[in-house]
Amino acid sequence: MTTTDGAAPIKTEGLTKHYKDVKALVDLDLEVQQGEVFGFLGPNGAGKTTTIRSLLHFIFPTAGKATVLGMDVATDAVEVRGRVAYMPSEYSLYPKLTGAENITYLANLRGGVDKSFVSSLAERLEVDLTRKVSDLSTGNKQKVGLIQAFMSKSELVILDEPSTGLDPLMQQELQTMIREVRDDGRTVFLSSHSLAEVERVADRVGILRSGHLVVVERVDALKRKAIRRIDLEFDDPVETAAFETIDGVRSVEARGNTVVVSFEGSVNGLLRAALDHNVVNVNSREADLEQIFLDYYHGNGSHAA
Amino acid sequence: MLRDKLLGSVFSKTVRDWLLWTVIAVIAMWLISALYIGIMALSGDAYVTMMDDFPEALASVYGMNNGTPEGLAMSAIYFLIGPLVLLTYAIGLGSSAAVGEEEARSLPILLSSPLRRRSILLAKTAVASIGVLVITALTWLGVVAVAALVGMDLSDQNVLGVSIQLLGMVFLFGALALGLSAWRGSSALGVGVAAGLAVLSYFVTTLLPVVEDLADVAKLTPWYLFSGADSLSNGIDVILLGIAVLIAAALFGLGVFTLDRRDLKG
Repeated sequence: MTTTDGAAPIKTEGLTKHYKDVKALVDLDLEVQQGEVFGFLGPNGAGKTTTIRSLLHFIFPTAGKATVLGMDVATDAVEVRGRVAYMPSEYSLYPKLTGAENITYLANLRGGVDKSFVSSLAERLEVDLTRKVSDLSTGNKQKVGLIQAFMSKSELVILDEPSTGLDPLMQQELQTMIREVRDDGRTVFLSSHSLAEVERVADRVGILRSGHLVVVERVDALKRKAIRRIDLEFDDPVETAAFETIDGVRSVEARGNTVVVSFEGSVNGLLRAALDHNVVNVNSREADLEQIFLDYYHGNGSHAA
Repeated sequence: MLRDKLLGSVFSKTVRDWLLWTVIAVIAMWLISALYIGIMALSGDAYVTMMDDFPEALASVYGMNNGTPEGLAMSAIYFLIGPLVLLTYAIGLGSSAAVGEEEARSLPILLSSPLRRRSILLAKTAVASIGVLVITALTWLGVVAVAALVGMDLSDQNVLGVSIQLLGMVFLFGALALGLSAWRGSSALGVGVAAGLAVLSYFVTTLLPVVEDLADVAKLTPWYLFSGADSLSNGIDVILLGIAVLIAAALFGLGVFTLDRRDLKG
């Protein structure tokens, strides 16, 4: 699979969207690379869905431009949508139709959908497509939505909160499906509140806060830069002052015989200071994306705007 | 299988979605037509006498009446019930064509297919328009058939003429609902304004001529584009029909233009 002239699957330059006085998206410069899973994170109202709706030309940007697969979304919207699969965060299927009829309708409109592939997706997601959508649970409706997004094997798959309503097993299956798209050389743009999900499948993440893109980074690099926590347990209470001046230490807190230290960077200096006392136990917690996300969300991240 | 074939395009799925409403409208028109024609055939003269005793304003609101049982039956069918059924259908589906999918929140999924907004609107408008034509044509056939059955003396051509004249006004109000809904993304606005204006213009057109000085004002309403032709007696008034169709086309064009240029909701 190749994009148009090797162009980036998604590229935005100064993309901005205002709703009257509300700045939903501000000067977004973003480039998603071919064959990657790009996680798009941010709290509610950060501008994730606004970005996606701009990419699909459902809304008109106040300023800036966006290209998808090398095509300008403003002038080639139909061609873009013909080559992109999309699952919205909030949507309705046709409730009076069965799951299969919904899929048939959308597949006919798109064309080139392999029916046997649809069946295999339904089997993997364990959804009964013969039932009317109005009779399906939220999770099963979500599965029908996922089938329509994956059935076309599009070059770019845009998923907005795709795991909503799915049980853990199905979330795992969804992650496998996302990895398969990437392994096929195609691209996934994954907007999600499920930080654990993004952490598991994304190669890079972008974090939005109040319409501003505050960081784009590889997941592993982001973790390395993140503030981590270490619990140092001693045989007696110790003074915290010795730890507070060490490079990279952000905070120190004494809890009985234990000193809890938040730090970034190398742990060497911290361990050397600890060895001046009798260390009973060391408990290091790996930074997860949630903590990183919260740091950026609250404006504490090292790259936070 | 027919059910699957009807899911081949937006047009054919819309036919499937709206077929029931069309069938209900046709049956309603047939039943009402049969009822009025039957009653007037049996005891029309008594009704004519009764109508003669009505105050002028009330008789005017009831519709056109040339003082015959046939005239009373046609007034009821084509100047009261027919417009009510057809306008309800056209305004409802016109608005739904513009924003039905958007308000039902199925538009994001539908537009994930390589479709233009205007293509969806055009397909749905075509289905609604064909529905209006089908209801009108089948009503005409029903009226002519029932009239022949009970021996009522009707001019088939004039009944066809009034049907066609009515179409112009129905398309006008349907396009108004469509245009306003498409412009603001709100069916409440489109339906509310179109239905309100239809009711208002009906009363203005029927009541104002009772007052001699205000008779000309009544000619400024959309309803006059239909009733002013007096098609039951005179056949089609091409100028009034043309004005109605042109306004309908302009409102539809406005709907397409604004839908293509606004942010979609949801």
